[in-house]
Formats: sequence, structure tokens, C-alpha cells
Amino acid sequence: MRLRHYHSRRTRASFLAALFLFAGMCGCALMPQGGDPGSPSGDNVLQPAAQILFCDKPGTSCSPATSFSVSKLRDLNIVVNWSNLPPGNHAQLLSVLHTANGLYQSFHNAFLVSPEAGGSFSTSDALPVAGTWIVQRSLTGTWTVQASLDGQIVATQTVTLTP
Amino acid sequence: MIQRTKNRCFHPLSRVLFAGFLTLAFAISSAATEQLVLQKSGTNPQTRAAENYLDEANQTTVNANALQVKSATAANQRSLILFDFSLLPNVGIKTAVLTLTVQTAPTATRTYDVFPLDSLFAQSAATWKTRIADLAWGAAGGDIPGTATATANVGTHTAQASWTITSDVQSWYSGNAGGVPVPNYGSLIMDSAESSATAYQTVFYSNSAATPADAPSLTVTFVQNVANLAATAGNAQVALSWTFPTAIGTVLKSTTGVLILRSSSGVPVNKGSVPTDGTAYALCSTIGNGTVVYNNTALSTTFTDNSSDTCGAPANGTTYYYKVFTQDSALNYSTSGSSGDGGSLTVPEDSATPSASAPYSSNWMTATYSTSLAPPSLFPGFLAMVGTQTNFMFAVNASTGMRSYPPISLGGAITGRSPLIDAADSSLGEDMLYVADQSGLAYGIAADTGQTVWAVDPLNAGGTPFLAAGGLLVKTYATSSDTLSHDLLILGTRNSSTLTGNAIVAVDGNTGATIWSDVGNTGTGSSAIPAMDIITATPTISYTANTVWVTSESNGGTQPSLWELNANTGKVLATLSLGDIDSSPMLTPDGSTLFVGTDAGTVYAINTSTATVITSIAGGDGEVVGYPLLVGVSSPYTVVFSGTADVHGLTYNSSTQTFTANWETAVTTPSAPIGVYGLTDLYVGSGDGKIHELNISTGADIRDIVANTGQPGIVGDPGLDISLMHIYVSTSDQRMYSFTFPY
Repeated sequence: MRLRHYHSRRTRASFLAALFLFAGMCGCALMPQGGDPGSPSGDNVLQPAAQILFCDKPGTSCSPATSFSVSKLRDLNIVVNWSNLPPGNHAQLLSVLHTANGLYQSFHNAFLVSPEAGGSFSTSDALPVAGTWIVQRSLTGTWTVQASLDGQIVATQTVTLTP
Repeated sequence: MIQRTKNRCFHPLSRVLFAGFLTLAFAISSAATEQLVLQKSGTNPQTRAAENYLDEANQTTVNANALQVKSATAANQRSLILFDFSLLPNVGIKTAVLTLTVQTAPTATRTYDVFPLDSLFAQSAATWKTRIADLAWGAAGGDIPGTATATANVGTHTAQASWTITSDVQSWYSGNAGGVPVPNYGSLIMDSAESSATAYQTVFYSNSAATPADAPSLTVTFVQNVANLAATAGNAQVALSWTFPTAIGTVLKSTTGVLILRSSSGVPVNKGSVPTDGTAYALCSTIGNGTVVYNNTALSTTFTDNSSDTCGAPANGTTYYYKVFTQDSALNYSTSGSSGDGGSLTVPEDSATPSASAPYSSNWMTATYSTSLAPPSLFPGFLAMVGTQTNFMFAVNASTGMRSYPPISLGGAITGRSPLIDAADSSLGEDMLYVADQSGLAYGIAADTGQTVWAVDPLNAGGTPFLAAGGLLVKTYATSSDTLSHDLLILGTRNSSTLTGNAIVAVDGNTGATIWSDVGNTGTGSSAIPAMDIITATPTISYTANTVWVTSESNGGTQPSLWELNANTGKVLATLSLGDIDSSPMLTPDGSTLFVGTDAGTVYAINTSTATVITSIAGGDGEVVGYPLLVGVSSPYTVVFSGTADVHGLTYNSSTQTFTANWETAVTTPSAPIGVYGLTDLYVGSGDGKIHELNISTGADIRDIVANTGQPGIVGDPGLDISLMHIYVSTSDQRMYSFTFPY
């Protein structure tokens, strides 16, 4: 599943702000492994950080949550909101691990961050659920998603799939 | 699901490899740390290689078989290069150096960066904007990470430039980002200071170079894995044997023996159990989750793990997992990278369960890098192929489990069992594998070599995902009703963004050309195509009627979910609304009756002449998994299917047109069942890490064998090889296993 540009770069900042606000309201704001996006590292260079959100619908109608019933889910949409990205090319690898920590599926996204983007970028990938092994083989429980950027794991987040 | 026995000699890959690599006159009889130069020549065709340059000034122009790098305002050029690693299917990578020969030097010294590509490209299609078919790059000019793997300067008198890309090549074999292997999409080379006001360009020789020595090369050092690893369980003992492969490159360090790790904790030795090069290990020391139970430097080819094992003698009833590393005189091991890189991912392993009365062992185990629960595609007796949701297609020798060639890197996740057809039956005259992936691409792949013969976006719609494997109408088996001149691959889309506009598309097996497509909710009058929800199961071909049966979901029961199409034209002949269906239909041998299982657990018998329901039987437990298995060649037929927690056995009598429920057997989250006519037992993978053997008539759970009960590894749909009497399963523990059946 390739990159889903579900909003233009001009509107990305406002959308991200709304998304963060909503995530905070629903209790699903996530701390990336890369640290607080607003905190400088020791050498005053901000490190890329990522927030991983899970939604039952793609695009702007996304409603972030941390638990989903597979019986009602067509896809698990995984949104990664990047911050502090240096301008230029980047390659994101999303690794989706099922309950036994086995790698289930991966998603590759490559994108270009312009200097005007303020270091932000968002990706969205859809993990198929309806009609898949997740339903047919009852692969429910706690799943883990790792977001890597340019070969380095930056953020990890769990999501619960229920019957 | 009857599996056809292949009764002719399969062209072994080794024939291609060893006939085509005569330049290795220095090869000697035993493996070691070796060095090999991958470079196209008269004897090394580099069949799977590709090269292009992307031109910003001509953004839709394909520049195949050429390598140029340029820095100029709005006219930058970047080169793509992909090597064929077929000569190195079973190795641990130690170093890799890319070398390009300069044909035309720049007018001033430039620095060129090499990056690993992050997306699949096709030599025949790659442009500045597009990478393959109609699919665009994520970022125009090539999908790459933010940091180069290596840099090199090219000056006005530079003859050759070299870049060390060891980490990239190791990542293709094991994985750098947390041990997650990434597909080998090749490398991109670009000027480190693009968009120069003054243009600077370098032309490198490509694989079209008149002098073979000028062609791009990749110098690789590696340690070959042992070959033909076999485990044999006995009474409180396990006997292992292996062979040392013949050297295929220049020997740098001689092989001395093996280091064997064992896990007795119920899980295999994991990919992070990696001995460190240059380090000697004592018996019973621990590496990752493995214990060193054998460390031999005398080229022994056997080891018996028994009561003399000071690390703990094998106990009956316990499953033991062994991983065998080759080591050389400098204590280099057959690994690719470190523990964090998952550096032992491709090292041979095997399992055995000793017993006083019924010991058993796997024929082989092989890494698939990620979960796959689909049955493998088979050339019985010769080849097993399995696709993964991390974009790889693996091909392994059915007897030994050794890779026939490195996994094929495709553009998206592969979920279903891809149809595989031998050359004698293929309309293309080649052993062919047909694959569809979640990036929306379909591929025709030469199974002997892994070479992509064609890759297309059959709907030309920017990549509409395919979840299920395609159904293949094989021209050789078709009746005169088939007016086409070639094999036909039929695919259904799983585009979850629409409840009504999914599609069924048919592709020419020879060329990838789209023959017809049916898009839901389009057309009018007699050409109207009803609304079509997602398709998640492989279509079934009716050779007697030359039609295709496709199942789909139903938008909450409001739309058709069973479709019959004319195979020549795609015309919708009939539809039935049976509620959501996520399993494949199954035809009786005479084509008169179709069995289909719904997500509600009901199995229908369909009269294929009238496309009407004959009868049905409820009582399943949840979604029918995979397909209803039909066993028998005439009525009464045995129909077996799996639900959420039970396997169900039915009889269908075509005379009385009735189902009879015969048995239900509890199996933890069972896979689709597999069995063949003439056998008394069938096989089901389970969420308990085992493969269950059930009696077809009674459902009695006769015996189980362990794949991996420690995590546990959820066992996928089994495949049966009635030539070798092997059963193959892929599991959630990122491996494929082979066992002998009946147990």
C-alpha cells in the first residue's frame, strides 16, 4: 500500500494540529521513541520523531483509537505523523507485528520533505483486515507497529484487536 | 484442492547457474569465506539485473541499459542499478563493493552518493516520475532514504569508482532496521550536489558495454551455508547431517567446520542468535536463545545429539531446534550482520522431536522473514514457492529446503497462493508463477530463475490492491469454448475504499496485457455490472463451461457475492446474493456443482448450469476459512471446511441433493484443510503451533506434529506434495516447514 497523501502540504499543518488535539482528547496521544518532538537533543539538533495513530477509516475522517473489533473493521489505517524531519528524501518502513511479535506485514513509503514543510510529513497505510487471516485465524490481541525512518526505528506503538 | 503431480523433469536452477559460470576456474571443492564478482558477462547473464538513468529534463523518458549521473539545474540525472544475486542463494554476506567504470568523466571532480532504493522499479518503465507500470515514485527522481550508504569521488581522470554497500546487501539478506529484511530494489546513484549552475555529467559503462570487464560489478565476500541439513529424531537422540558446498568464488579463508546452536525452549533459534566473527565459543555457551551444542573444526558432516551432550541430553517428547553455522579458519560465520540485524536469519535450521515410539523431525525449515499463512505453490517433488506480506517471493528446493535463488523482491505484500504452472502446460512454454500484490501489480515470473517476465498494473488505475491470488485458466486444459490463445490470469481487487466499485480483471499470461475487466457498478442495460464489494479469495475456473466463479463481500448483504463470468469476454453470466464470502468456491470434477462457504458459516451447493442454489447447510462456526475442501470424484462427496474453532465434515449426495453433517472436530483457530482423494486423512494447521492429522471419515484427531508451540507459531494452510509425500506449512514464526506425511 503506497503513500496516501490525504491532505495537501498547505493544509497539513492545520490538520496535524487538529489531529494532535483530537488524539489528546481521546487519550491516544503517543510518545514517540524519538523523544518529545519539541525537545532539542544535546547538540541542539532536533531528532526526527513520529506519532503513530490507528483509525478505522482512511483520510480526514480518521478517528484515532487504540482498540478495534476485527468483526467491524475493513482496514486498520495506520497514520504516522512525522516531525523534525530534515528537508530532503526519506524512506519510512512500517513493520506490523502480531501478538507473538512475529512480523506480519510491512509497508514502504518514500517521500520528499520540502524546506517549507517545517519538518512535518504524514503517511497513511491500510492494513487489510476484513477477509484476511486476521479474521479467519483470529489474530486478535495486542499488535505492535514500528515506524523506521531511513533505517532507524523511531517510534513504536501498540494497538489492540478484539474479536 | 487436488494437487497435480508434475511428471516431467524440472529444469534445476543449478543447471543454469553452473553452466553459466565457467569463469570460476579457481573454484575448489569446499566452501569457505569466498569472494565473487557479480558482473554480466557471456557466462553470467545477470538475468534479474536492471539499470536505468532517470532524467529530470525528460521526466517521462525511459533510459534503460544506460548509467548517467548529472548535476544541472532542472536537468539532474540519477542512475538505478540492480544486481542479480542468483549465484548467492544460501550465504552470509560479509562485504559488498559496487564498482562502476567511467566512460565519460565529468569536467571537474564530483562526489557521488549511493542509496538503497525503497521501491520496486522496472528497467522497461522507470522514468523520473514513474517507477513501474503506471505507478509513480513516492518522490519524483527515485525513492531513497535521507542518508547515503556510501560516497565516492569521480574526477576528470577517474577510471573507476567504488562504493562499499555492505550494509545494504546485508539488509537484503537479514535486515538493518530492527532485523526486518528489506526487499532488494537495487541502488540509486546521484550527485551529492545536484542542480549545479554548471552542468557536470558522468557516463558510466552499463551492462551493454562492449568490453564485459567495463560492465558494473559487485564484489561480494561471503560464507556459504552448509547444504542438505537433515535432522533425524530417535529415542532420546537427534542425528544431524549436512554437506559442505562447493566453492563458487575465490577462497579467502578455508572452511573448518560448523557451530551448532540448539533451542529446547519450544521455539526455534531466533534470528538474533548470531555468533560474532572472530570469536570462539565454548560448548554450552549461549548465543541469543541458542546453546552451543557442537563446535567442530575438523570438517565433520554429522553430529548426534544424545546422552553424551554435556549441555543436556535430548529428552523424549521435547522438540529441539538446531541452527548450523559454517565457520572458517578466521572464525567467520555464515551470518549477515549482527544480532540486531537479525544476522542469522538465513542460516539453515531444522527441528526434531525424539521419542521412544514415534520420533519425528522436520524435513527442513526455511526462513520466510515474516508471517505467511498461505499454502505454498508447488512443483511436486521439485519446488515450493511462498509469497509474504513483506514483499518477498521465496523459492526453495522441495527436497532440501535450500533456496533455489534469493527471494524475489516484489512491489507489495503477497497474501495468496500464487498459481504455478510448468513449461509443458504453460502457453508461454516456461515454468511460470503468476503473482498479484497489494500494490496493485500483477507479475509473470519465470519460476526457474526468478526473473520477472512482465509486471503490469492491469487496471491502469495507479495500483488497486489485490489480496487474493489469481485464478489461472490454463489453455492446455481448456475446451474449444476457450477462444483465447493463451493462459488467462483472473484477479479480483480488494479496494476497501469502495463498497461497490471493485473489479475483476483478466490478464494475458504471456504478456500481462489486460484482456477484459469488469468494474462494479458500471455499464448499462445488458452490459450492466452490479455493484461489487471487496474480493479476498482466489477465483475458481470451470473448464467444462469455460467460466470463472468469483466470490466477494456483499456490502452488508445488499449486493451479489457470487459471480459467474464468461472467461473469454468477462461478461457477467450470473450473480447470487449469499451474504459476505471470503473463501474460494470449489467445483466438483464434472463441473456440475459448486460448493461455496460464507462468512456466516453456511455452505451452499450451487447448480452451475442454472446458477441457482440447490441446497445449503448452516452450522459452521464463523467465517469459512480458505475454501470448502472437496474430497472424492463422484457423489456422495465429502466436503470439509474450517470455522473459527472447529473443522466440519459433511457429505453431499447429488442424487438426493442433500448435505449431511458427519462430524465436528475442535482445532484451535484451524487453517483451511487439505487432503487428496485416496488418502484416509486430511491435514489442518492450527493456532496451537501444530499440524493436525484428522481422519476424513470420522474427524478423529489422529496425531499432531509440532511446528512451533513455543510462541506459538500459528500454522497456515498446508500444502501436500504427493510426489515426495511431504506436507509444507508456513507459520507466523516467519518460517516454512516441511514434514513427511502420513505421520
